[in-house]
Amino acid sequence: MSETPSPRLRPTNPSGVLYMGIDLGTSRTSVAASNGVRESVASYVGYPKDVVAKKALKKDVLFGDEALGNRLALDFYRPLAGGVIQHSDGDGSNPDAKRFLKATQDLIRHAISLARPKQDELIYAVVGCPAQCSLRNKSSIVEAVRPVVDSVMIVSEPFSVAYGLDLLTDCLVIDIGAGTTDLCRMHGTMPTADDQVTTPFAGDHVDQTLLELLKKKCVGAAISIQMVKDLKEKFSFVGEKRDPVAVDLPVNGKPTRFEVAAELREACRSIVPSMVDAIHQLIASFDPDFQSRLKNHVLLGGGGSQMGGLREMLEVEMRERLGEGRVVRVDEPTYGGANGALKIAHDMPPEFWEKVS
Amino acid sequence: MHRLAGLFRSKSNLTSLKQLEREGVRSVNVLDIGRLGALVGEAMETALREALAVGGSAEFAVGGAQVEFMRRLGLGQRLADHGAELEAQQNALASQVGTLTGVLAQSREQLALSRERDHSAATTGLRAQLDLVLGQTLARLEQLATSTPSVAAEIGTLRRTLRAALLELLDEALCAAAPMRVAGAPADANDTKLDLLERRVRKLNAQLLESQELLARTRAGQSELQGAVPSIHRVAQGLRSDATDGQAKRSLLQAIFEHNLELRRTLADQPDPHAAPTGAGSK
Ligand SMILES: Nc1ncnc2c1ncn2[C@@H]1O[C@H](COP(=O)(O)OP(=O)(O)OP(=O)(O)O)[C@@H](O)[C@H]1O
Ligand SMILES: [Mg+2]
Repeated sequence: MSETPSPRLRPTNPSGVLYMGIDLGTSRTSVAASNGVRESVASYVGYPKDVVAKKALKKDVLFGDEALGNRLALDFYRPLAGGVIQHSDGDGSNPDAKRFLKATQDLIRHAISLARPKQDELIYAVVGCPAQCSLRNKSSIVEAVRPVVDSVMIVSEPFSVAYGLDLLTDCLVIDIGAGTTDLCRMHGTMPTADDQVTTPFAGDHVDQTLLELLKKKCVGAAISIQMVKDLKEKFSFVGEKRDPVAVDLPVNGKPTRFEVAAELREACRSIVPSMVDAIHQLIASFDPDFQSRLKNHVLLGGGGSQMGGLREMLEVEMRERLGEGRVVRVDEPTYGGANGALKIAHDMPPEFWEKVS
Repeated sequence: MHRLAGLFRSKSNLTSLKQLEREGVRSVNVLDIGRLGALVGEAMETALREALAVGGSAEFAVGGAQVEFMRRLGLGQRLADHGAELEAQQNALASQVGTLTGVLAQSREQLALSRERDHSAATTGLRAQLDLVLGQTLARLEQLATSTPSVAAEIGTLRRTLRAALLELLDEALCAAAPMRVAGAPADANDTKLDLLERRVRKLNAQLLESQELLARTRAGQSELQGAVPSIHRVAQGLRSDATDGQAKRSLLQAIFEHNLELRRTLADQPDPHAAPTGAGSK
C-alpha cells in the first residue's frame, strides 16, 4: 500500500492547503473544511440492484437520504454500526466485510467531494472515528481516505469534540451518537483507554426500545424503525413535565391517532442509567484533587444530546450520586466532531502532515 | 456568433456616470468591445486547436469555444445553465443511441435469418438438380459397362464420392457469393437499411462522445469559477507561541501524530486482507 495511486494531480506549485475535518458517524457523516464549507450526509450508501434500477436512477451509487428513499431498488448499506465498520474485524476474507468496507470508502470519498476542494489544493484531513475503533478499523479508514487526500490522520471522536471547544483539561465529554455513547475524560494529555468508556446505549437503542413499546401500545398499527426515528427526533424528551405527543399510525390502512408521550419518554430514558454509571466511574477514578473540576465541566454532544431535559436530568442524577454536577450542551451537535477535527488539522504542524502523507 | 452577441448584450446594462457616482462608484473597469473581440478570438483559437487535435466536428469546435469564452469571462451561472442543457441533450442522445442500437441488432438478426432460409432453399434446389444430372450421367455409364460387372460396382462408389465432392464445392460457392452481394452494387433493400442504421448509430455515438467532452469542460470551468471553494487559510493556524496552552497543545498534536505513524507502520507490516479500493467513488 506504500504506492497509493493518487488520482488528484499533485500541484507542482501548491497554492494552498485545504484542511478538512471529517466525523464518520453511524448515523451521519459530516465534514467541515477550511474553505468554510460544512456538509453533512446520512451514513447510507446504495448501489442499484440491477440494470433496470441503474437506468432509472442514472447513478452507480447513491448516498444519504437519496439512498434511503430508493432503498428498495438498491443494495443498501448502513456501513457503520456500533461505532465501527460492520464485519470489519474478521480476517477480511468474508465477502460481507469487503462490501461494507467498499461502502464505507465510497461514503468517505463522497463526504470529501462535498467540501468541493480545488484541483490544485493539497488536502489534509483529520477523520474522527469512534473511541472504540480497532486498529484494523482505523487502517481501513486510512486506506479509504488516502487515495483522495494528500495526507490523513485519525483521532478519537470525543477527543476531537473537546479539542474543538478548547476544553483540553479537566473536562468530561459525552458524545451520544446513534450506535454508541462515548465518554472521554480530558486532562491535558492524550486520553488513554482508561479515560474512555463506550456504551451501546445511544440513539439506535432508543429507537429499538421505542419500536417495541409502540408495538405493544398501538395494536394493529404498521410501524417501521424509520417512522420511530423520525418521531423521536421530533419529540424526544426525558423530563417530568410532558406535553401530549399524538401520532397517526396506519391500522389496516386507515390512519389512527395514538398518544405516545409516556412511551417516548421511557425509551429516551432507557439510555440514561448507563450514562450516569459511566460518568460516575470516570469521575470516581480520577485524581481526587481534580474531581470537583471534572464534575463541573461535563460536556454533552452528539445528535442524542438534543433530547429535551437530558442536561437537567443528568445534573440532578449527578448531584444525587456525586454531590455536584454541571452539564453544558455543545451548540452544534451535528458538527461538533467535524469542527474539532478541522481544528486539529489546522493546528497540526506541516512537518507532521508531510511525514504521514 | 449570434449567441455570443446575445451574451454580450445580456451582460451589459445602461447606466450614466451620474448614476454611478450617486451609487458611490469612484472607478469602473472598462471592458471595451475590442477586448471582448480578442477574448472571443482566443477562445475560438483554443477550442479549434483542441477540436483539430482530436478530429472533432465543427459543432464540437463551436461548443468548445462557447464554453471557453464563458470560462474566460467568468460567467459561472451561464456555465451552469449550459451544463444543464448539455446534460439534457446528452440524455436524449444516449436514449436515441440505445433505441437505434436495439433496432440495428434486430434487423441484423432478421437479415441473417432470411439469408439462411434463402441459402437452404437454394441448396435444396441445386441438390435435386445435381442428383438428376449425376443420375443421368451415371446411368449412361452403367449402360456402357454392363459387359464388365466389376466396373458396375465401381460406379456405385464413384457416384457417392463424386456427389459429396460436388456438394461441398457448391456450398463453398454459395457462401462466397453471399458477402459479395452485400458489397456488390445492386445491394438489396435490407442491406441499404442496415448500412444507414449503422451510420446513424456511429454518428450519434460520435456526437455523444463530443457532448460528454463538452460537458466535462463546462463542469471543470464551473468548478474553477464558483464550484470549488479555495481554502481561507494558507498556513497552519492556532499554534502561535504566545498562546497560553501552546505547549500543551503541541504535545497533544505530537501524540496524535505518533499514534498515526504507528498506525501507518502496522498497516505496512501486516498486508491488509481487504482488496484495494476500486472505482465507484464520487470523486
Ligand atoms: N432531536 C433529537 N432528539 C433525539 N435524538 C436525536 C435528535 N436528532 C438526532 N438524534 C439522534 O442522534 C443520533 C445521531 O447522532 P450523531 O449524528 O451524533 O451520531 P453519529 O455520530 O452518526 O453516531 P456514532 O457517534 O454512534 O457513530 C441518531 O440516533 C439520531 O436519531
Ligand atoms: Mg458520532
